[in-house]
Amino acid sequence: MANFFPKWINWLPLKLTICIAVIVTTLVAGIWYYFTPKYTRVGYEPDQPVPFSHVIHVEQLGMDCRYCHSFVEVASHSNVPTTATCIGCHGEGKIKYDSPKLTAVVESWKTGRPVQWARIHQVPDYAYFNHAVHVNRGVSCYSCHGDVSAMPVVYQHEPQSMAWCLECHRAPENHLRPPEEIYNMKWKPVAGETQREIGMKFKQEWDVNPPVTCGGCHR
Amino acid sequence: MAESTATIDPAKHAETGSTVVRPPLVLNERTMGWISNYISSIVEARTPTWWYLAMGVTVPLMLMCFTMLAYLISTGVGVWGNNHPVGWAWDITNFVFWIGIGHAGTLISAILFLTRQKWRTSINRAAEAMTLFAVVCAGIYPALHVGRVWMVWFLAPVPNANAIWPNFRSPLLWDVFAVSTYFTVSILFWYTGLIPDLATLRDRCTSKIKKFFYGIFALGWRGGNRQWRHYEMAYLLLAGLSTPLVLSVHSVVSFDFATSVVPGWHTTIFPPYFVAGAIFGGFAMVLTLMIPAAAIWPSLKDLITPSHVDKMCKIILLTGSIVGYAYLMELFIAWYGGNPYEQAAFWNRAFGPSGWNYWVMMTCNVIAPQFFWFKWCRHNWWAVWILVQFPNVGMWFERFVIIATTLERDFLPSSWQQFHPSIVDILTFIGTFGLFMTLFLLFIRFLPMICMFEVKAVLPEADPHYGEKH
Amino acid sequence: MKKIINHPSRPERPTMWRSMEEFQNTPEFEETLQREFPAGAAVYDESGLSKRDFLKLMGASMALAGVGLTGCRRPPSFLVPLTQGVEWTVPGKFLYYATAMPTRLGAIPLIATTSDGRPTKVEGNPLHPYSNGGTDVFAQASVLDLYDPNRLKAIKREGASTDAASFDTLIGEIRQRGEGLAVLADSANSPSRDRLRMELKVAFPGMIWAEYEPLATGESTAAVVAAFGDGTSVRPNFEAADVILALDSDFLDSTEAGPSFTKAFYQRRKPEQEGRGMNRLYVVENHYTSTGGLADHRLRVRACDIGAFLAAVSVQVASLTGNSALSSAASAFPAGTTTFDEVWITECAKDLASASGRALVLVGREQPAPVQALGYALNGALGSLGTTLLGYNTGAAPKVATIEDLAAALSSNSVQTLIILGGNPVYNAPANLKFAELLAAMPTSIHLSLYEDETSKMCKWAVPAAHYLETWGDTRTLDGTHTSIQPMILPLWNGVSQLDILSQLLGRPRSEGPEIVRETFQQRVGSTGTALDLAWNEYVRTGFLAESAFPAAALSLNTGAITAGIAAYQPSPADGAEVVFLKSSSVDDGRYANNSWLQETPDFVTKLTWDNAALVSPADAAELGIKDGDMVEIVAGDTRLECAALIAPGHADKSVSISLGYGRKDVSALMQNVGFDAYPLRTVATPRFRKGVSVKATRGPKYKLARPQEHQSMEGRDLFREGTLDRFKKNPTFALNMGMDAHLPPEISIYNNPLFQPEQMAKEQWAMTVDLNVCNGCNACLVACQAENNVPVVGKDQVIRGRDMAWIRIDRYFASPESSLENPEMVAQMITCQHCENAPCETVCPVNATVHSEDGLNLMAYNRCIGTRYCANNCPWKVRRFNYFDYNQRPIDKLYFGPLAPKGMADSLKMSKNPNVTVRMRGVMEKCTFCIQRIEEAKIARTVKAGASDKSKVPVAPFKTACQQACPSEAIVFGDENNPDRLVSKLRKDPRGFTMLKYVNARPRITYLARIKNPNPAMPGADLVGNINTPDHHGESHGEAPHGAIDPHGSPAPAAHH
Repeated sequence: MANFFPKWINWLPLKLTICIAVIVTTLVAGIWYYFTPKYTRVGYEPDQPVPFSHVIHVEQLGMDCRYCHSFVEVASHSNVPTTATCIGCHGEGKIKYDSPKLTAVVESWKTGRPVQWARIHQVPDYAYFNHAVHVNRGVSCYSCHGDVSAMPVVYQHEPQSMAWCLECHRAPENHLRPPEEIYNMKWKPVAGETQREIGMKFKQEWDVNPPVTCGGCHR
Repeated sequence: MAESTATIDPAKHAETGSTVVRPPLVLNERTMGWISNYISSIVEARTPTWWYLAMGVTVPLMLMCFTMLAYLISTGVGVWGNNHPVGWAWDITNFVFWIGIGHAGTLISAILFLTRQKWRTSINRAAEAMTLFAVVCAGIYPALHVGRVWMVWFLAPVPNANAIWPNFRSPLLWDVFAVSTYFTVSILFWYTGLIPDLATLRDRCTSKIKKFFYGIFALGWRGGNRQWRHYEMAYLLLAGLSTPLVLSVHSVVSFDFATSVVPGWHTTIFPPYFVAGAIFGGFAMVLTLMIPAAAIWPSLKDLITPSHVDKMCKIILLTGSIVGYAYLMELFIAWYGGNPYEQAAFWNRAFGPSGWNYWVMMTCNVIAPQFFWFKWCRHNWWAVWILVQFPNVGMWFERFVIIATTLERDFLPSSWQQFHPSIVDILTFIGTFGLFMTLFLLFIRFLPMICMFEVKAVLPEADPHYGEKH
Repeated sequence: MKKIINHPSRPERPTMWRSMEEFQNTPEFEETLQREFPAGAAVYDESGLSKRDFLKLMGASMALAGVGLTGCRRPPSFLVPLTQGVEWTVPGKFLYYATAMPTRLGAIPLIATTSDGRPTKVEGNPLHPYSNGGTDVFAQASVLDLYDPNRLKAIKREGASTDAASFDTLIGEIRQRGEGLAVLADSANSPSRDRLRMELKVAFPGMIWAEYEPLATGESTAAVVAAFGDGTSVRPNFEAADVILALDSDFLDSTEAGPSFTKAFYQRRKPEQEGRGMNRLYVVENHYTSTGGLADHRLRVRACDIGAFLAAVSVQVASLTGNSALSSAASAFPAGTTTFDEVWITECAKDLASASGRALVLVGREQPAPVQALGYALNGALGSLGTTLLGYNTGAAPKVATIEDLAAALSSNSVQTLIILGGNPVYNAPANLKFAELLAAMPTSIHLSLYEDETSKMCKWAVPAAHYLETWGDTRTLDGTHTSIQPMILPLWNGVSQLDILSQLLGRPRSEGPEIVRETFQQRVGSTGTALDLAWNEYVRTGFLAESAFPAAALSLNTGAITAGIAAYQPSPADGAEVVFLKSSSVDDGRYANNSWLQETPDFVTKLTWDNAALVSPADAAELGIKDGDMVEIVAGDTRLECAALIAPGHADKSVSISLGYGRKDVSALMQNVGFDAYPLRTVATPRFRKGVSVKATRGPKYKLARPQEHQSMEGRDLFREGTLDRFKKNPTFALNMGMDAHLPPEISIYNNPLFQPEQMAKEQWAMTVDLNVCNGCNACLVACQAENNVPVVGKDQVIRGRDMAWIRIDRYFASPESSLENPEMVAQMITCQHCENAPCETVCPVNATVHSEDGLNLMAYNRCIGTRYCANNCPWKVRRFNYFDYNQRPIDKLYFGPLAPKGMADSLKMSKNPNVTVRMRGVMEKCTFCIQRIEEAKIARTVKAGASDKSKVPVAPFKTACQQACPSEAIVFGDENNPDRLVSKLRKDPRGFTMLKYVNARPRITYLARIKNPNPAMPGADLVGNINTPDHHGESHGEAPHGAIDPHGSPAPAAHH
C-alpha cells in the first residue's frame, strides 16, 4: 500500500497528547490559583489620601480600635473616623497640625469636604455583614483583618470569600477568644491552652451557633 | 419483525428445506465493488449546484439563530414571550422536540444492532449523524434559556470559592448529565462506525490533502484481521453501552415534568410515553431526510429499498399508536383519579383557550400514522414523505401542549395567563432548523452517508456458504 | 504574596451633593447654594442636624454606592466619613422620627424611617391617639413621590427657570399692591396655615381665601350644618354599632379618614368576640367597593337613586318607630321613578329598627346634602345620635370661599393676583367653571406645586413645593388631634412649604426651622420658657399634642332644617343612564398620577393597572354588545368622553362608573397615554353623579387594558373559604374540610424529612396568618412591601405581558352559588410566598439558589440564582417573580433596546431604596422573604444584647413584617409560632384556620382564617350569602376536623395521586 503519510506523522499522536495534557493542567492550575479571592483580594493595598500608620497609633501609642472605629460594637458598619476625630488630636496648635502628611485632613476640616479613604475590605452588596454581632460574641478584629496594628499601610489580609466565611461559621471555636481580648491584635492563648479548647468552652457557654443558611447573610 | 430475525442463518433453513422468501436488502444484484464505488463517488464528485443553493438558504437561517441568541443574552429572557405563570414555553418545547428527534439514531445503531436487524445497515450512518445535529440544536435551549447565562457554570459540580454544590435532587441537573452523556456516546459511536469507510475514502482519493485528512481520521486503519476482530468487539461494546441511553435520555427529560407537582405534569406515565414519542418523531425525521436523498441519487434506491421504508413506517405506526394510547390513558387517569385539579388541567388542554394546539397534536400524532396500516401508503414514497411530516409537526405541538398550555392554567385561577410567542421565539426556532440542515448538508457532502462495509456484509456474497450447492 | 496596587487618582467633584447640577459643579448651582445655604446655616432645634450634615450623610451614601468609578480589577470605591459626627446618627443604623401625612379629611400619623439621613419608609404611629399603627397605599407610596425625579426643581417664570430673588421681589410687589389678592388652597387641616391665613386677612382685608378639593365636596359639611348646626362634626362609633347600613359610602376605604377610623368596625366583625356578637353590614351602592365586598347583604342601586332608596327605608323605619319627624322628612323627598326591592327594604328597615340605639346609617360624603341630611334624620330616629354616631365640637370654622365664588370673582376682574397653594384646578376644577380660561387672564398667578402640572403651565409663576417629608408643618387628624410634621431631609429641589409662602406674604423673613409651627404650638399650649421647650420636644418626639382632640358635643337634630332642605331639593329629572365619578384607588384625584408604584398597583375591584375605564354592568355590556377593552362614548350634554369599557360584575344597570385622575397629557412621560380624563364631564352641580348621559359603543379598535389578574372566577375551588355565622357556630372548624380536604387520606410518608428533625429546627419558627374576615383587599400591604423590599416597577406593556413583579398580590374573585355576574359576592385574598415546609420550588432548583432555613423560611439567594424559572413553574401559588429584564437599570419604555438603552437609575431613586435589601438584577427569581432583613435585624439585636453570655437563648423581641405593619385592619399576623406568647401561634390553631391546596402537601406556613358572613335570614337571597364554597359539605362529619387545625404545620395530607 502506498505510503501517503510523512514520517513525522508517527509522532503526531504522542505530541498531541502531551500538548493537550500540558495545556489542560496549566489551565486548571491557573484557574484554581488565580481566579480565587485568595489571589484577587489578599494583599490589596491602595495608597490612602493620608499616610495613616496603625503601627504608630496602636502599637506605639497604644490606642484602642474603638477610639476611631467608635460604632463597631453597635452597628453593622465599623465606621471610619470623622475628620473631627483626627482633629481632636491633630487640631491647630496640637500634634503635627502643619505636617504635610496631614494636609488632606486639615483641608477637609477647613472646607467641610470629607476625606475620601480608599476602601479595602469590600463585601459584595448582596452579602450583609454585621460587625456588632461578631465583636460582641468573641470574634476579634484580627480574625478578619489580620494584625492591623502591625500594618504601616493597611492591606487585605484574608480572602473574605464565602468559603472563608463558612469555615468559621461552621467551626467558630477556632476564632472565639475572651471578650476582653477582642481588640488585642497580639493575643495568643496562654501556654497550656489551645485555641480550640478555649473556643469550645465559649461556644458552649455563650450558645454560639452562627448561621450557615443563605439567609444569614443574603437578604 | 420475525421475517428478518429468520435471516440469521440461511443454511439452517436450507437443511430443513423450508425457504422463507424475504426481500433482499440490496436490489439489482449490486456487487461489493459497486457499493464502494457508488457511495464514495457521492463524496468524491464535484460539489453539485443544488448543494450550494441549499447552503445558501440554510446558512443565513443559522446566522439568524445566532443573532437572536445574541440578542437574548444581551437583553434578557424578556425578549421571548414567557410570562409569569408560563415560565417555560417555546424554549423548553424546542429543547424536548430536538432531543426527541435525536433519538432514532442511537436506537437504530444500538438496539437494532444488538437485535441483529440487518436492514439497519443502510440507514444507521445518516440517522446517527442526524442524532448528533439534533442534539446540538437541542443543547442550545437548556443552556441559554436561563436568566444569567454567564452563571451556568454553577451547574457544574466543581469546587468553588462559595463552597456550594449543585442540587442533585433537581431533574434539571439530571438533564445536564443525561444529555451530555448521550451526546458524547453518540459521537463516539458514530465516529467508530466511520473509521473503516474513512480508510476506504483515504485509499481511493487522489488529492494529497484529502488523503491526509481522511488518513488522520482513519487512524491508520488497514483492514487487517486483528483490526477487524477488535473493531467489531469495540463496536459491540459501544452498542451495549448506548442501548440504555436510548431509554434513559428521554426518561430523564420527562422527569423535568413528572417530578413536579403541576397538574398535567405530575404523572408516572411520562417516561415510556416520552421515549415512544421520541422514537416516533426520530424515525419520521430519518425518513424526511432519506427519501429526498434517495431521490437525488437514484441508485441509492438499491440500498434504501422499499422494504427499508416499509419497516420504518411500521415502527412509526407502532410508536404512533403507543403515543395515542398514552394520550387517552392520561385522560382516563385524570377522570378516574377524581382529582379536580388534574381534571381541570386536561379539560383545559383540550378545550381551554389554547385548545387548538391539542387537536393539532391529536391529528398529527394519532390519526395520521394510522394510514401506515395500508401497504400502499408504506410503499408510495410520496405518500410516505407527506405522512411523516405530520409526526414532525405533531411532536412539536405535543411538547408545547404539555409545557405551555399546562402552565397557562394550574392551581390558582387568579394567576392564569395566556402565552403568546414573540417574534424572537419564532425566528430562533426557525434558525435552529438552519443550523441543523447546514450540518447535515456538510455531512452528506464530505462523509459517506451510508455505511459501506456494513452494507457489504449483508450482501448474499457475504454469506460464507454463498454459491454452495444444496 | 503582597502586592502594591496604586489607586486611580481621585476625581475632582464634590463629595456631597443633592442633584446632578451640584454633582457637576455648574455655576448656577453654586450660586443657588450660596443663596440657599449661607455659612453657618440654621440648625434644627430638635435633631441638631445641620443642613451640611444632611448633605454629607447623603454624599457618603452616594459615594458608597460607588457612582460611576471604574478600576482595572474591581471598581475601586471610597469610604467617605462625615467631617463632623451628627447627633444620634450611627452609620448604617435606622433613625425613626414621628411625622404625619395630611389627607383630605385629616392626616395619617406616621413614623418615618431614615437611614443615613434619607427617609426610606413610613409606618403608622401607634402612639398617636387616632392611629392603630396602620397606614394606607398613599402614605406608603409617598416616599417615592419625595424622590420623584420628575418633580418641579426650580422656580419657573412663564416656563423659564428663574432664581428665588426675582420671586422675592414679586412677593414684595404683591405686598405693595395690597388689594386684588386671592388664594386658592387645597385642604391641609393645618393649624399654622389657619393662623397665618387669619393674619393675612388682617394684612389684606380684601383677600379672597378659597379652598378646593375635587373629592371633598361641600355636600357633607352642608349636611352636617343643616342637621346639627355650625361648628360640629360627626363621627361613627362602630364600637356600638350592631347593624350598619351604608349607602354609597365606601367607609372602609381608609385613605381619607385615616386607618383608625374603622378600627372598631373590624373588632366588632370578629365572629368569636366576647360580649356583643358580630356586626351586620348592609351595603347599597352602584359599583363594587371594598366595603361592598365585606357586606353581608349588598344591593345594586344607581348613585342617583340612593336618595329615593334612603327615603323608602326611612318611611319604613318611621312607621316602625313611629317617628313623625322622620316620616315628614322622608315623605318630603321627591319621589323617584325607580322601584326597589321592597322585601329588601322592609327587612333591612326591620333589622335597623329592632337594633334601635345599636344601628348606624352611613351615607356617602359626596351624595347631595339633603340626602345625607335625611341619613342623619334616620339615624336620629334609630337613636344612633350619641350612641353609634358621636358629635364633636370643632369650634366655628372661619368661612372659606368655594371655587365657584373664586371663579365669579376672577371673571369680575376684581382679582389681580392669584396664588394657588397645591392642588391642580386647571385639571380638576368643575368643567363648567372654565377655570383654565379665567387663570390665563390673570395678570399675576403663582402655583406652588410638586410637579410642573397643567396648572403650573398656565400660571405665570411656578414654585416647587416641599414634600411633607421635607418641611416643617402641622396638621389635625380627623379627631382634631394637633399633629406634628417634621422634615426628614432638606428639600431636595429647593421646595418651599405653603407656610413659607404665606409668611413671606406677611413680610416675615424666610425661616429655615420650625419657627412658624412652633409659634402656633405656643399659642395652642399657652406656656412659655422651659415648660414650652419640654412640651414642644415631647410634641415633636411623639408627633402629637396629647388631649388636643375635638371635645365631644351633644347632637341635637334640627329636623326643620332637614325637612326644608329636602323639600327644596330638586334632583335633575333627566332620565337615561348616569355616570358616577369615583376616587381612583391608585391615583386618588390625580395627584399621584406620577407615582409609578401606585400606577402599577391594581385597583382592588377591577384589578386594572396604569389605566381607568368605564365600568358597566354585565347587562348593559350585553345590551351595548361590548367586551372588556372595547371603546365606548359617554355623552353628557355637550361633552363627549371616549374611553375603554370594563365589564364590572355587581355593577348597577343603567349606570357607568369611571374613576377620576387619569388621562393627563404632557405632564410627564410616565403619565402619557395613561387612562381617560373624566373631569370634563363633571360640573359644580354634579360632583358625584351626572344623570341623563347616553352611552354607546364606538366600533373603534380594542383598547389594551393591563390587568395582572385576568380570570375572575374561582372555578369552584376551595381556595377562599367562607361560611355563615350559624354554620361557624355549629361547626367552628367547618373551613378545614371543604371540598377535597374532606376526603384527604391520612398522610403516610416513607420519607423522613431531615428538616423536620427537632435538632434541625431553630428555636424560632416563622409563620403568618391572614384573617380573610377583615381583609378587604385595600392594597396597603402590597405597596408597603414594594417600599420595604425594593420591588421594581415594570410598566404597562410588561403588565400586559403578565410580568408584574409584586411580591404580594390580592386575588379578587367574583363568586356566587348560582354563578351569576349580576350580583356575585366579591372576595379578596392576600397571596404571597407561603414558605412551604415541603416547598416544591426547593427540590427543583438545580443550583440550590432557593433552600429552606432552619427557622422555616423558604430562602431565595439572588446571587446564586441562574434563572431557570423551574421553581416558578413548580410553585402552586405562582408567587415567584422573575426579572425578565433589567427593570432597575433600564428605563421601562426602553427595555427591548437591551445594551443600547441608557443604564442606571435616577440618583434620587437610588436614595429611596431600602439599604438592607438587595436590588435584584435581570435574570434572577425573587419573591416574598417574610421580610428576612427585619427577622435578621431582630435576631442580631438579641445576639448582640446577649454578648458574652447564653442570653441568646431568649426569644426574639416581637417585630412586624412590612405588610403586617401597614395593614389597617390588622388582618395579617406574623411571628414565631413556637412561642406560645405570640398571637400567631394561637391563630395558627384557630378553628377558622385553613391552609390552601392541602392535597399538594406543601405544608404552607401561612394560615388563612375563613371569612364569616352574618346574613339576616329574612332578607331575600339570604340563603346564598356566605356560600361561595360548597354549602354544608357532607364531609364535615367525617373529616378529621380539629386535628388539622391544631397541627402547626397545617393538616398533613399526601398529594392526592401519589
